[in-house]
Amino acid sequence: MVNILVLMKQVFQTADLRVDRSTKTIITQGVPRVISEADKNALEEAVRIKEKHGGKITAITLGPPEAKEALREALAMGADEACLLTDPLFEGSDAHATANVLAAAVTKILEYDLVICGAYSEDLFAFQVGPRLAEMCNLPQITYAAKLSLENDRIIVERDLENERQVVEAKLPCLVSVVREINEPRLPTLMAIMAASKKLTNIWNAADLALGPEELGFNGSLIEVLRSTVTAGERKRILLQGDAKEIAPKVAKSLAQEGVLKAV
Amino acid sequence: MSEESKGVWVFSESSQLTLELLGKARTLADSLGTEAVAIAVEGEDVQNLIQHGADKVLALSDQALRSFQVDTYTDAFANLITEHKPDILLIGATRNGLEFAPRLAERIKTGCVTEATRLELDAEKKFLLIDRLTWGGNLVETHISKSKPQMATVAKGLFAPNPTNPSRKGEVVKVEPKFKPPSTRLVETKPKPVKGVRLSDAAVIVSFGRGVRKKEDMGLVEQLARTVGGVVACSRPIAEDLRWLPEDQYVGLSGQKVSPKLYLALGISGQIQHLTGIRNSRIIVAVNNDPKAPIFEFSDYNIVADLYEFIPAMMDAVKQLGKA
Amino acid sequence: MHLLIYSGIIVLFIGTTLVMIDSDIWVPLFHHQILVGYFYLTFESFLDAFGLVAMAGLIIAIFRRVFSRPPNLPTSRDDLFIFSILIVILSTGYLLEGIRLAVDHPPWAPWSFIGNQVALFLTSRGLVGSWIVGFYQYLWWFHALLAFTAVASIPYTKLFHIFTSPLNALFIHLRPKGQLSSPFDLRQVLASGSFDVKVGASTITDFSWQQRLSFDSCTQCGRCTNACPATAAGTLLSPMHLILKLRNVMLTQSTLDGGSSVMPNIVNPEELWACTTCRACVNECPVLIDHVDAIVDMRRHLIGEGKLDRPKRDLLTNLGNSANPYGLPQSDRMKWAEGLGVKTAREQPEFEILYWVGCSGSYDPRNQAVSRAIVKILQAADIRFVILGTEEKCNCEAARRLGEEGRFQQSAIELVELFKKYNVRTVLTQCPHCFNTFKNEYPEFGANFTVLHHSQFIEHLIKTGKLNLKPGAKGRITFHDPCYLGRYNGVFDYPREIISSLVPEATLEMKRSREGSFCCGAGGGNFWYKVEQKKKVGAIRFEEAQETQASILATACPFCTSMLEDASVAAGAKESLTVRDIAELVAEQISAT
Repeated sequence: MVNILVLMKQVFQTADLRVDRSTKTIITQGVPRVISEADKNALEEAVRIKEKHGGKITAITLGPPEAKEALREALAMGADEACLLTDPLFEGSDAHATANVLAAAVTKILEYDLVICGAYSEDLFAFQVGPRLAEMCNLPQITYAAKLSLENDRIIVERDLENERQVVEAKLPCLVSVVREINEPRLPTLMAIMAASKKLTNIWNAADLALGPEELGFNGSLIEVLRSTVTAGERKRILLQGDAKEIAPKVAKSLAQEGVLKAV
Repeated sequence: MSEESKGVWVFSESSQLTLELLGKARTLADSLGTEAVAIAVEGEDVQNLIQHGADKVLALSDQALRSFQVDTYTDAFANLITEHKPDILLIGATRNGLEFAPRLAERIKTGCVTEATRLELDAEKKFLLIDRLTWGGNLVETHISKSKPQMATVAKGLFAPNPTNPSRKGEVVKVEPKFKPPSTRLVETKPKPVKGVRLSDAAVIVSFGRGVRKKEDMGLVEQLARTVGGVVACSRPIAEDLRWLPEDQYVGLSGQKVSPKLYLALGISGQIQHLTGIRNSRIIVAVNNDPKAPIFEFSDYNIVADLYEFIPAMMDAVKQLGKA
Repeated sequence: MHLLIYSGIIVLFIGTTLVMIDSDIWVPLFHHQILVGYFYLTFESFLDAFGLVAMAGLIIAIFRRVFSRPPNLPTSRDDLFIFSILIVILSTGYLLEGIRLAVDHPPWAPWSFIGNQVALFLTSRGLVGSWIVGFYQYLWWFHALLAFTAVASIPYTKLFHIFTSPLNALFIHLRPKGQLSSPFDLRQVLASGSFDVKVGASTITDFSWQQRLSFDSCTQCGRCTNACPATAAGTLLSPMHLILKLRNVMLTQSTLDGGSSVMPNIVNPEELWACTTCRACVNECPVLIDHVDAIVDMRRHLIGEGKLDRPKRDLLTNLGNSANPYGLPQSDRMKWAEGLGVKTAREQPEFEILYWVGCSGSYDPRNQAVSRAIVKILQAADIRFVILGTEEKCNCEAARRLGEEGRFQQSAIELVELFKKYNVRTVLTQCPHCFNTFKNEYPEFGANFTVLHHSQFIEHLIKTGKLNLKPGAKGRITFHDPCYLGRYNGVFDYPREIISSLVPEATLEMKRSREGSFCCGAGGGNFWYKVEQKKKVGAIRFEEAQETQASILATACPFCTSMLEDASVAAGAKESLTVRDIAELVAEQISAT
C-alpha cells in the first residue's frame, strides 16, 4: 500500500502560442490547455505502482480555476482524489513561491509515501519546483527517473543522465521526478474523463493552506522579472538563392548569432 | 547581510563546462572588481582552472565529495556559501547541476534562474541580469535575484573558455565544509540503453528526405551532422519505403517528434506529416531545389539550392566559424 | 456454381420428402395419392434434371478447388466430407432409380430420363438378375443412411450455413453501410449522469447474438480475405481468419459467462489496427457477415483500455485539444483561403451552400490546393457559398473508426448545433469521409441537411452549364474510386462524367474499380499511425493504376490523393502518372469568361 502524491501542471499548448505583433504580447486566446507531458508520465507511473502495490493516488495542481480540467483527466487516468490549489494571490509566483504553496498542501495532506512529478514543465523548462519542494519537505530527491520500482519501504530508481544510467536507492518517503522515457501514459476516453467528475476534488486557496500574502506571488518570490521581450515568434521565411558557396557562410553566421550553431 | 557579498563563483561536474563558466566569470569579476572563484573536487587540475581565469580555487578535499550527490553537495556548498558569502554563483547545467542548483538555492533561500541564455550586469553594476526563454521560445524574460548569491545555471556552449594563460597565478585553498551522509545510495551505474542521442533530446538535427538520391550519399549528411554536432534524422519515406535508416530515426506524424534548437531539412519537400513532427524546433533551415516546396512556408531560412552543393559549402562555412 | 448445388439439393430434398409423405403418410391415411398423372411425370423429370444440376455444380466446385484454386481458399476435412457424401448420395440416388426402373419397367420410365439411361445400361449389361432386388434394398438403406448422415452433419460442418446464413440475412442490421453502431447515446448519458456503459467487445459474449450468428455463418469461401487490402499488403489481418477465430472461441468455450478476452491471445490487436474499414470484405461476403462491425467493436474495447502507441494517442489527443488531427492551431484554419475573398458563415449569414473544407483541406498544403481549386470553381459558377473558417472543427470521424465513440459523438452534437445556428441546408465537402459521416451518421444526432460530395456538385455545375470548360485538356485519365464514396455510398458515375467532360476518351478503368475498388490504405485511421506492411497498400493500388497506361490518376478524396501521391514518389513515377483531384483538373479548364 503506497500513498502517492502526483504534482501536475496545466500549461498552454506551447506550439500554438503566437505573438501579437502590435501589442508585443503572447496570444493565449483559443490556445488549448493541456497537462504538461512529463506530468502525465508521472501520473502513469503512479498508477502502475498502485496497480502493483495497492494504495491511493492524489493529484495536485496549482493553477487558475481552469486547471480543474487537468485534474479531471488525471482522475480518469487513475488518480483517486484531486486537489486544486487556486487563488489570485498565487499569481506571479516564481519556483520558490510555487514550491512553497505545494509544500503547504503536501504538509496538509500529511499521509504520503511518495511524491512524483515531471522533471520539468513544458512551458518553462525550469527543473526547479521538484528539488525545491523536496528541500522544503526535507525529502530525499531522485531525479530523471527512467525506471522505478518499489521494494518494501525502499524505492529503486534508474536515473537517466547524459552519458549513463545511475541506479539509486532511497527509503520512503521521498520525491521522484520522471523523464518521458519512463512510460507511455494511458489515454482515457472522453467518457472516462466525463465520468471522472464524480471523484473527489478538493479546492484549496491561500487561507486553506494558512499562507499569508507576504509568502505568495510576487512578494514571496526570490526572483523578479525585470522585463519581458517578445521574440520574433512566426517563422522568418528568409529566402536565400544563388551560389551555395556564397549562401552558406551567410547562413552559418546568422545561425551562430542566433545561438543555435557552433562548430564542433 | 551584514557583510557585502563578493566574488563570482563557478562550479560544474564537467571540467570543460567549468572552464566555459570561468570565461564568463572572469568578465563579470573584472567589471565588479572582485575575484573569480572556482570550486574543484579532489583530483581536478586546479592549476588549469587558474590558468583559465580563476583567482582562487576552493578545493574540496574530502574524498566523499569527489563525485556528485545532491545531499552532500547541498550541505557542503551551503556551508561554504554561508561562510564566504559570494555575490554570484554559476552552476553548470548538466542534469545533475539542474537538480542541485534549485535545492541549494532553496537551502540558502535565494533565487535561481535555470537555463540562462544571457548574463550581463546592469548599467550600475549592481545586479546580474539573467535572461531565459519561456513560453515556447516566444518570450525572453530578464530576471534579477532579490537575494544573494545571485544564482544561475548555464548550459554548455553558451560561453567560451578564455585562452589559457600559463603565467597566471592564483590561490588554492583547501576547504573541508561539513555535510551529512546522503539520503540516497548509488547502487550501480549502467550504460544507456540507446546508443547515441535520442532524437527527441537532440539539440541539433540534420535531417534528409528524398532529395538525397542514393543510399551512399547519406555519408555526406552524416559528415555535415558531425561538423555541426548534430544527430541524423530523416523523413518517413527514407525509413519506411527505402529502409535506409531504422524507423526510430524518422521524424513525422507517426514517427518521432523533435524540438531541437536547430533543424536542418535537406531535400525534404515538407509534407504535412513531416511538419507536425518539427513544429517545436527553435530554428528550421530548409534546403530544397524546388522553390515551391511546401516546407518553405514553415521554415526560417529558405535555401533554394542543390543540397549536394550546399552541404560541402556549409561544412566549410561552419569550419570557418570555428576558426573565427 | 453454388446455385447449381443448392437448387439441385433443395429440389431433390423436397422431392424425396414428397415421395415419403405420399407413400408413407398420405396413401395409408387418406387412400389418396398425390404423385399421380402428369404432375407425377413432370415431377420425375424435374427431379432427374435437378439431380444433374446438383452433380454439375459439385463437379465444377471440385474442379475449381483442384485446378483453379483462388488464394485463401482452405480445403479442410469438412470440404472433402461434404463433396464426397453429396456425390455419393446423388450417384446412389440415380443408381437406385435405375435399378427400380429396370426391375419394374413402368411405361413412364423415360420421364425419369437419367434413371432410365441407368436402367437401360444395367439391362444391357445383363446385371438385372434376381440378386438385384436384395442389392437394391441394401443400397436403399445405404442411401438413406448417407442422407441422414449428411443432415446430421449440418451443425458440425460448414453446412450449418444453410440455416445460419438466411437467419443472419434476416436479422442483420439495417443501418446504411456507412453508419457504425452506436454503443450509447452521449446525450442520454450526460442527461442521466450515469457513465456505466459497456463499450466495445472483448469476450465472445460481448458481441451481440446476431454478430455471433454471423460468425457461425462463415462458409470459409475466402472471398473477403482475397479482397482485403490489409491482407494483400501482408499485414496480420485476414478477415476470414478473424471470423473463424471468433467462431472457434464459441465452439471451444465451455463457460456461459463469456470467458476471457479474445485479445491479445486469440485476436492480435495489430490485426484490428491494420483494417482500413474499406468494406471490401463485407461487400464480398455471400452470407452477409459484417467484419468491419466486429473489428470496430473490438477496437472500442482497446481504446477503452487506453494503452495505445504514441501516434494513436497523439491523434486522439490532437482531436481533443486542437479539434483537428494534426494538432495545429485552430486559428490557422483559414490560412489556405487568404486572398481568395471567401466569406465565413459568421460574416455572411445568407448563403446557399456551406462548403465544408475539412481538416486536410484546411491544413495539408497538398490538399489546400484542392480547396483553392474548389473555391475557383464555386466562384466561377457564381455560387453563394460560405465556409465556417475558424469555427470549423473536425467531425472526428477518424475517432469513431478508431473506437473513441465519446469523442465522435461530442463532436457530432457540437457540429449539429453549429449547423443549426447558421441554418445550414446544404453541405458541400471534398472529403468522402466527411461526406459519409454527415450523410449517414449525423441524422442520428439531429442533422437535417443535404450533403453533397464535390464530384456530385461539380458534375451538376457542368451539366447545367454553370461552368464553362475550355476544351483540350490533355491526358489519359484513370479514376480511383474512394472506398467511402464508391463502395460505401454508391457514387461512381459523377467523377466519371466529370472526366468525360474534360477529355474525349472514356475513363480508363483499373482492374478493380467501382464497387470492387481497391483501397488506398488510409481509412480506419490508418493514415495517422504506422501499420507493419510487407508491401504498402498504396503501392499495390498505384501499380494497378500504372497498368492502365494512364498519365493522370484522378482522385476525389484528400487521403487517396496523399497516399497515392506518396506511392507515385516511392515508385519514381511522380511525373509519368500524376495524381490530381478531379477538382484540380476541372479548375484548370475553367475558361476566363
